[in-house]
Amino acid sequence: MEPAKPTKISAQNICKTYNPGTAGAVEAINGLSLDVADGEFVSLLGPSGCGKSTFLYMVGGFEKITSGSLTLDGEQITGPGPNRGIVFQEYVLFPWQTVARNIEYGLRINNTPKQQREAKVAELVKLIGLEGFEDVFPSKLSGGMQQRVSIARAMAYDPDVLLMDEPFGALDAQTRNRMLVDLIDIHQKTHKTTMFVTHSVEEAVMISDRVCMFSSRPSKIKEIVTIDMEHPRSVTDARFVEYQKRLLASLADEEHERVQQHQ
Amino acid sequence: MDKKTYKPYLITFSSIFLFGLFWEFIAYVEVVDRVLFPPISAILERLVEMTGPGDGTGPSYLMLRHIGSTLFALLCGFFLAALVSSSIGLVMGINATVYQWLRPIITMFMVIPNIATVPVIILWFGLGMKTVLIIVVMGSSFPIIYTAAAGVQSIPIKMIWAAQTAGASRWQILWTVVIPGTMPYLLAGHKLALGRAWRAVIAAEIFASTAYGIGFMIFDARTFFDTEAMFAGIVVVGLIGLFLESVLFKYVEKITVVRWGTSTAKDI
Ligand SMILES: Nc1ncnc2c1ncn2[C@@H]1O[C@H](COP(=O)(O)OP(=O)(O)OP(=O)(O)O)[C@@H](O)[C@H]1O
Ligand SMILES: [Mg+2]
Repeated sequence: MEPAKPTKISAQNICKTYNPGTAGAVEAINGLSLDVADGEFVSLLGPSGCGKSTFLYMVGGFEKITSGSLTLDGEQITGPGPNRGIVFQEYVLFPWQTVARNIEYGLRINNTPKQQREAKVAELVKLIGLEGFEDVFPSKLSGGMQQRVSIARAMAYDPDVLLMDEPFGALDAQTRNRMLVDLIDIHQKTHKTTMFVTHSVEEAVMISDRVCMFSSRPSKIKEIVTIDMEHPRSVTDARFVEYQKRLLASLADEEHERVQQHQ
Repeated sequence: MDKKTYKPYLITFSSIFLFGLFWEFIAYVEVVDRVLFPPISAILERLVEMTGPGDGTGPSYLMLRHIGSTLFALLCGFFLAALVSSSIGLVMGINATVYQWLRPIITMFMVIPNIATVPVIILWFGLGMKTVLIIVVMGSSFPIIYTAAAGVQSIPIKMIWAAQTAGASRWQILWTVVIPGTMPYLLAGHKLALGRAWRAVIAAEIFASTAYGIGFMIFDARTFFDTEAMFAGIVVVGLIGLFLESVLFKYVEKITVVRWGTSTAKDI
């Protein structure tokens, strides 16, 4: 066994209530704890509305935790910063900028010289398979294409941590599989700590070191499954199927719980 | 120019031309007295005459002087308002406290018809260009403030987050996200404001000008029962207004919101 990697992100017993003390208070997360090691790839799975995006926003530094402790490299997270890159569930590209400009946004902000910026854009455009679309505005792209641009934008300035909120949600099966393979590849090369929210158990098993199953709202982490398989993984592998079954059953339980709560 | 680019201009031109023909017809059958309702041909003839060097009895190129004076007041007033009001509106959009305190005042001034303030401004500043300018500024400021603030508030918070996480400072966010993100609103506000400014300048000239300005000219011609000159003035007001609205703003929109695909104009 290789030596344990240092902890990159540490969440200790965190709670999050939106609009606390008002009639519209929503208790999204209650008592969530999770340690993510440096270089680890962690997936977050759970029923819709359980607080996966919320957790990601807190790690991103956009939303404040209500209580508990949330650290990055041992320091409390107080706000957003370029050591993290985020891919939003809704892409959120800048509509007034072309594909290339969107991708190099972070590089312009940190004053990267033009040549390096161009090289990086060329590299990423190739990765996301959007060559020839550099000068197109986002309004002319499909949802899946926008999502890919948003992934490139988050990676361009080389953050330590990647936070991805259902980054493949809008992609067709073929593109998704290709992007999944590419993302595994990138992760193996760069070892960026990654938090990856998904609704697809298959995606989670395919790509992650560990899969965290959220309970229904107010959520905590119900169980963590370590995927002990080498890459490349095959969906037909018996162990793969086993992991998938186990996680699907767990997810179905939570969905059931959520539906019952509503009744 | 391909068919698509000149077609809108062709429609604009034809529609105005047809309206002119209709006018001519009404004047020709003399439903109304010809002096009160001169045919468009006579109006245009008068317009050309007034635009020319003149017969030496009065100032030469009289119409051009009027137009020059009006455009000067309009553009100076409008640009001053645009600069100051956009800034106020952006600050209101960024800061909730400023917004809460200024909003009631802005809303109140928005609904006061411009013309209602003219007598007071004349009392304060007398007759002349200064008064006209102030009225134009007042007329065009509030729509810009209002829409700029609304525009900033319309920017999705996640767009700001995307910039923050890339390391953007507050100033960088202002320049790279807030201002471009407010652009569709800013353009709509300025469009509205220019229309208001145009009305304001003509109204102000009627009451506060002493020698030049199209508004002044129209009102002055009334004294001599010179209806052709009055209508010539009105035609000029309409043509310049049309130009400002459809040519100038169409162009600015084309290089911004239409190109980005964020224009609000839809053909339903
Ligand atoms: N800004 C907000 N104000 C109030 N409540 C919110 C806000 N954002 C999210 N919530 C609530 O918090 C809960 C968790 O939302 P969140 O978006 O984190 O869920 P999620 O797990 O990402 O769901 P999905 O899988 O559907 O994307 C939901 O009940 C939602 O209604
Ligand atoms: Mg979500």
